[in-house]
Amino acid sequence: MMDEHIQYGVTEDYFDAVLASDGIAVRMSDNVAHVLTQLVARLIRFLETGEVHEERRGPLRRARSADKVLRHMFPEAYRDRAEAHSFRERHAPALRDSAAPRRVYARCATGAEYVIDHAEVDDWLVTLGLARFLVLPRDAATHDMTVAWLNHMQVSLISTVNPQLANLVATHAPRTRTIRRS
Amino acid sequence: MWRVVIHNDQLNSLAVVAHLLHTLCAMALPDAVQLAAMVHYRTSAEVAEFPSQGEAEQLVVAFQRHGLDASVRHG
Repeated sequence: MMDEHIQYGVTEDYFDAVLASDGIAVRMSDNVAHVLTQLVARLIRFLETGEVHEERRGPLRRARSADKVLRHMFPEAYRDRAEAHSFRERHAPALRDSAAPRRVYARCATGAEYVIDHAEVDDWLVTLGLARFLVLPRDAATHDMTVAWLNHMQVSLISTVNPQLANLVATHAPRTRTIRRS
Repeated sequence: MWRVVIHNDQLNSLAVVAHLLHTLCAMALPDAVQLAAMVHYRTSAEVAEFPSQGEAEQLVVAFQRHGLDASVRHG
């Protein structure tokens, strides 16, 4: 039975990125900063030790193994399984390099508002891009709220760095149908 | 030749794929957007080719590091 005291409200969470004279000014709600920091810490742990901390979501859903998360994060690079395996082994140090997430984590520890320089943006794109796989498998049909936030942060940073990108992308977006009432 | 292919997925937006093509492949932004749209609508697209396997793999590593589904094809 549903708890009648549960209240559903509009979230006050936000993440903004704007161009500043010395880089990109980023600000986010305390809750977003907290969730991001926790997730980046999990990503660093996963890349460095292979440890997955995943809670079971519901009685029928099993926690994913580290190997499964790794395969979603770094998919088969070749059609041939042996070649794909060899690729993953050959490039493991580069794929699992935690330097970028560590720099992002250090930045997150300073609060919920800061200026990141242009060279740092790529660290954020790597970190946000990989952190999603700790939350959701690549082929998931469902949409997770945390993944939606991570995607929003990625696109906000990219749009700030490349303001003309939004217009170019809009020309390739699927057209919406207008329904007219007669 | 060794070709790098990007596959469409449920996670990455057209803007992200276009930005990464622009920065990692040094592609002009309009071309990057057009190629990203091709990935989106055709489920995959070849985005670069190299004479050596090593160079192709380096680019795949860079794409996968950013959360994209990228692979190598030979021939």
